[in-house]
Amino acid sequence: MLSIKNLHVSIEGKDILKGINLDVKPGEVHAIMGPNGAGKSTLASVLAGRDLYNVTEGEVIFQGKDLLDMEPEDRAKEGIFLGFQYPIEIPGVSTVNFMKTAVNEHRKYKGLDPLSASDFLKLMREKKALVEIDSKLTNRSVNEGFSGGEKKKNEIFQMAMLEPKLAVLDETDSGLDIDALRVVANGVNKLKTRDNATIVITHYQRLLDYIVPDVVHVLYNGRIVKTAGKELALELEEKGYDWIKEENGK
Amino acid sequence: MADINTINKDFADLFDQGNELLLEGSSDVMNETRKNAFQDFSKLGIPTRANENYKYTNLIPAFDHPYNVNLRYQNVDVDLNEIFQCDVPELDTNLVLLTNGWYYGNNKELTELPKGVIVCGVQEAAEKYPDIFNAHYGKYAKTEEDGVVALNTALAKDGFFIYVPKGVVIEKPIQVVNLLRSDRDLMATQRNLIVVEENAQAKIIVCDHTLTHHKYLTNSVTEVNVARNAIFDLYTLQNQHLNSVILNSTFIRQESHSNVLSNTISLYGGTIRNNHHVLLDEEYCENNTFGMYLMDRDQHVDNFTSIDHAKPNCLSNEHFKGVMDDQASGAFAGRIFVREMLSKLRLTSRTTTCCFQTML
Repeated sequence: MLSIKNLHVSIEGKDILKGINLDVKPGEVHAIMGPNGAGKSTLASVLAGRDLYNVTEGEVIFQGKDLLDMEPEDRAKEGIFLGFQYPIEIPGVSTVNFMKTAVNEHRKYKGLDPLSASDFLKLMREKKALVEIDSKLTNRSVNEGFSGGEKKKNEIFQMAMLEPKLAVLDETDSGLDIDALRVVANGVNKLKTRDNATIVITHYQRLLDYIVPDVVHVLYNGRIVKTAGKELALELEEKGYDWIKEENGK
Repeated sequence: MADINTINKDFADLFDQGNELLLEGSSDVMNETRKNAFQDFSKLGIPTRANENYKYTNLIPAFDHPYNVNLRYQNVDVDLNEIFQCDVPELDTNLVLLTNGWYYGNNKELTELPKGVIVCGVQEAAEKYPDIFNAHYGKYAKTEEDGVVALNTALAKDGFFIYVPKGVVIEKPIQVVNLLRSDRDLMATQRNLIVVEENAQAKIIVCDHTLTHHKYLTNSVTEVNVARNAIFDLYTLQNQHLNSVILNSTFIRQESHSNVLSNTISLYGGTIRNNHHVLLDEEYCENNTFGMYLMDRDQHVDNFTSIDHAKPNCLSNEHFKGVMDDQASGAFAGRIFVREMLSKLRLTSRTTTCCFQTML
């Protein structure tokens, strides 16, 4: 589904990613862990198409197409979803209108008719239940005045509405208390099918108790320095990241 | 009525004459902090209404009284575990008791706490866990700015200490019940320290109760450090009697990506003054400071908050509500500091809403 080969990325002349190789198949959950400043969020942003970064080398193929050639909106329409670490507020745009536009743009891209108002509201009710999100929140402007936890829930709600093929969740656990974390993880798990995949980016292991990964990668200093099963996450929680740094010459 | 100078001199005498007892059982760090705090108190004294931060609360009548002060732990002649029962239905907590500001010597063992969590008295913490204690004690409470805080630090002997290690989630809240029980009028000084380490989570409920009708003055200071990515909820429930004075100062320091919720609920008390200080010391913190008060007769409540956005990209919300009846009075002063040169502001502070309603 997703194939990243030798990806090099820089920002303002500084190399952030220094040769990432990653293969994600349908139905898989990959976790990317690593210390602060390892390049985790950069990788997520590059996949979503943020233009701040400069890809200097390598390729990213998503479902047979060159992802790096596409505009961010086309990547989204192809089925990539990025759950932001810091979701932004969009004052004046209600979540309902925001989602309706997003869903119908996706349908248009696929050659489908836009959803009728009643079908859209039905879909929204169904997906809201999945992340236990309150109607009061969806009637307000996107993320405006939301707490950190509400913003993260709203991200997963958007993901549920758009049903992406590949979801990249960038530190979704940050700022979530244990109850909200369970709700969010439960939502992600319910959306999992044989045909879609998820990349979970996290600093801590706790989220992976609930969203169990098939593969865990450790990103350090712009490279994936270790890949193993879910037990690697537990080892990192216990031992911290210092041993990774030592093994990799710092 | 005594004037403020007499009151301040009485405390200076207490500090001098009780110095041996003050030093006894306290660690070197506590005593060093004590010495500096007393110097601050000597300069500041008890704040009067001439002090901008205390202009709505006259503390002279609160302090102008011959209270007893316990500078040593007093044994309790009954089992407080037996005589105190929390009236809140279905509140499932890890419960510890304090008596007159001291960690109760006969607390039941908390068997359901996750590994590594420490709940004990401040004196015990200073002795058994000096590395943790010394790294945080006296680091957040500003004795140089408030005479009440300086007085607390100068007279501090005990209180509660809670430590939540890295990555640990305490799902069942810890409930601390402060009991005032004396056969004479009493001034209690209580000093608490809460340390929540990286990626840890905890909820703490602190309840204030009186078990006898005597006049009480409680001067309580709580220091809290919430490390990176940690989540901490602090609920304070004040329920004493008309003849009591509560001076409750809380100092919370937050590190990056931490999330703190505090809820101060004032149900009953003669005079209640809450000082709530938050320092958002690193980026991407979230702080929610909420409060509620229900006052009647001639009760007085004064909530003073200070939220310091020392670093950019932090979010803070404040919301206080109250219902008042009879001659009750209430005040709120909220200060939000945004340091200069912050280029990336993500400040969303809602203005405080106070609802005053007269019930007929």
